Amino acid sequence: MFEFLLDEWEKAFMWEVRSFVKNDIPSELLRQMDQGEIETGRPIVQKAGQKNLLGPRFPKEYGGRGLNWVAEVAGIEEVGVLGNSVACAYVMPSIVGEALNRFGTEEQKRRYLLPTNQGILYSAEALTEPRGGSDFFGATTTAVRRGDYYYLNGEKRFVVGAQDADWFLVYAKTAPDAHPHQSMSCFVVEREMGVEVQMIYQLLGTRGGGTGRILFKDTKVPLENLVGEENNAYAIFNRMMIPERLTSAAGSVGLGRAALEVAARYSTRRKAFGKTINEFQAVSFMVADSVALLDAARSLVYTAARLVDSDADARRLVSEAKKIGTEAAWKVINNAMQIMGGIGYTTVYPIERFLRDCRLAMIWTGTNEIMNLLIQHEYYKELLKGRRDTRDVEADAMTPQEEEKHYG
Amino acid sequence: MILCASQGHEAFEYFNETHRLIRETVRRFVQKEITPFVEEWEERGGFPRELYSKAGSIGILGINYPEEYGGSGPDLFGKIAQIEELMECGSGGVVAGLGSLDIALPPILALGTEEQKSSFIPEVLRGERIAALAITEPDVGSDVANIKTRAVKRGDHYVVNGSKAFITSGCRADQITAAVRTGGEGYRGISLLVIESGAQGYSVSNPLKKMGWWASDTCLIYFENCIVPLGNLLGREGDGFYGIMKNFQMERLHLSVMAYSTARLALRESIRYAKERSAFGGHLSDIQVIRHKIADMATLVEAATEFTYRVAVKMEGGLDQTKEVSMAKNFSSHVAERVTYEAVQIHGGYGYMRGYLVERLFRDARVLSIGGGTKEIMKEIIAKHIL
Repeated sequence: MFEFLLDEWEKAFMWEVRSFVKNDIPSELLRQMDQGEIETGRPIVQKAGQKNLLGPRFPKEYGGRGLNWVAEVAGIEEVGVLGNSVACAYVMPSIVGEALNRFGTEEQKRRYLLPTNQGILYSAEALTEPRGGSDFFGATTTAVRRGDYYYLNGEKRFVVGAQDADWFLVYAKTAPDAHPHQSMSCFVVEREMGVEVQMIYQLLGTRGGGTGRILFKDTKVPLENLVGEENNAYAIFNRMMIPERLTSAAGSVGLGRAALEVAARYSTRRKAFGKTINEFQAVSFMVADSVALLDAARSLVYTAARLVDSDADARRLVSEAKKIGTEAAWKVINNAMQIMGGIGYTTVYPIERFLRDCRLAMIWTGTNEIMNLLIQHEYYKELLKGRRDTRDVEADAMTPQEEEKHYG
Repeated sequence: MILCASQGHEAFEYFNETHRLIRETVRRFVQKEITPFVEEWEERGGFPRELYSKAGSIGILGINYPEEYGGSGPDLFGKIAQIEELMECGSGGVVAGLGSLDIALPPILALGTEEQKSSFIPEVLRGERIAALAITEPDVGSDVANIKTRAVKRGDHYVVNGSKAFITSGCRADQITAAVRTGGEGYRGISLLVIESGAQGYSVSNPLKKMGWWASDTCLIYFENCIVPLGNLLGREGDGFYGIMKNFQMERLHLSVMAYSTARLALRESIRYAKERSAFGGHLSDIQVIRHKIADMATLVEAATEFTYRVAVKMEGGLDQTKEVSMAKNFSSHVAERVTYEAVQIHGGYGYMRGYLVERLFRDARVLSIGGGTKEIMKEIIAKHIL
């Protein structure tokens, strides 16, 4: 139904991803990842890379397709039905690629961006630290320049791909005493340079991505692996948050859609009290709520994508899309489980995995509380700086006496 | 004050000195026999059978059961104190598994003959036999009146054919209280039989894998020309539906207690974490959105607890609380979902990691608005009473 919002190129890409999702990812792989028998997203990026489906908005010479964000979110929604872990592996080249494509040198693009988009290199990002999650710029990992190298020390955790990634996009303090926003730099760190895996986490969901804690101990990173300028990671971080949050939103819509499909189909077959349960309003209205939530979320995701494509400041809409997209999916998946009853709580249907997977979406890449922080900040900024070219509705009060208005 | 059910409430009307002693006994039992092993049992998907006999031998299982069958006498708030303290172990699965007798025995007490009560209750209360309740079937959940498992009289026994699903403690139960169809269609054709696991034609599936309640074994039970003595019929043929429905009131009260207890644990963990965790130059507990989240959580937990106590005291006084206990179950399970959700949120990435209590509480909470009558069935019951 939303295809009318897509042009021919965007639509064609979405169909291609849909067919890839339908045919090229075996159920067994998903089961193995959920059971932690596989702790890497490499098979996913390899398969998708071979079909040129990774990082579609990047230029062709760096392994992309020269498409836009709208095409990409439409594609990610399709991948989202496979669960958070697969979607996460699929979008990682798009996330770390943003830093390289925008801020990287030609050499970095050739060496890392291209093979990553081709699925030859498996990438990861290392942002969160044990002491600060949401408080990102309070990070303590340091990079000290000596001779031809930076020496990195510190640890990062909740790194998806810690187990198996070939390279990591790492943020570290290069000017610890400067203002936090001018204190950090961004690096490409190859595993070979000395990345030590400390532990692999057992997770509620989004399993099989080899999520772990990594340690840098005098890790030697060549100067040419600095991304952008020294102490300028703030700009890179802000830019990367666009793909981080937009991909999370789009993937969540796909996951919610998948849950709804399973449950709605079930409701047309399962009988109770002499009829199929979709004939009970308690069930069919949950379906209606779910459909409406997903459509609203998808609309916001597409709109935010369009805004990013137009190069305007999309911070507010991207944050809203992440918040609304993930929360819509959460509600829809819970509705789906409720429709399925006891069997939905078992591993006979994938709803319980969707629910476990989805719970992370409200936490990662900036919790939804952080989204609220950004949304209100942007809104107040716009409100207070904006031109007052709209009607002054305050004056429409019944008794608008100015002398009665007090502001403390 | 509100952090532990055992504090703050005792001084008021619901709990007395006996209940305080019950709490102490159960608390010691939990600290010694359960808490140190919970992680292992959760990962393994079950707890040792001896836990039943250990609990039984110190009288924990007999609370709120008649003395003549080995219980310590009727005492609903003693039962509530027991469940609250058991929940302190942090595993809904352990409590559900250990408590499966609380849904299996009441129909025997309500409908059984003296002989049936004497042979099917005391050993269970001593923890020497495991009892389970079997109503749900693969094809029939909420629509209880429509169950398909059939029992046909032949000579001095019934021949039972069919299957039961999602049976807590089902894998290793020695006896199940099972709903079967002895008559025609609808609720009038349903009877309750006690079926022993040694019966010919009785078999169980492997444990089902579930999102939560990992430490409780849940399975399917199959009857293939299963032979059950006529003497195992509870009450008369056709009494089953009444027995099941009556039983549900108490099950729902217990689930309500489990639900607010789950929420209470999540709240306590969140408060501790928020006070310890540094962020933005202070602690999480200094941030208004976190403070207010916790204030909301505490309000919900308090309301669910007090409402459940109120319903319980009226049940104990003999009032029909069918509507109110359905409300309590729905409200408390909603609170459990809401509060465990926020607890995970406050813990951030850690809350999503296995090994953190809130991660398990969150998974365990979700079944509470499905098991023992879904949220939707509760609403039907409430609506029927008030419309």
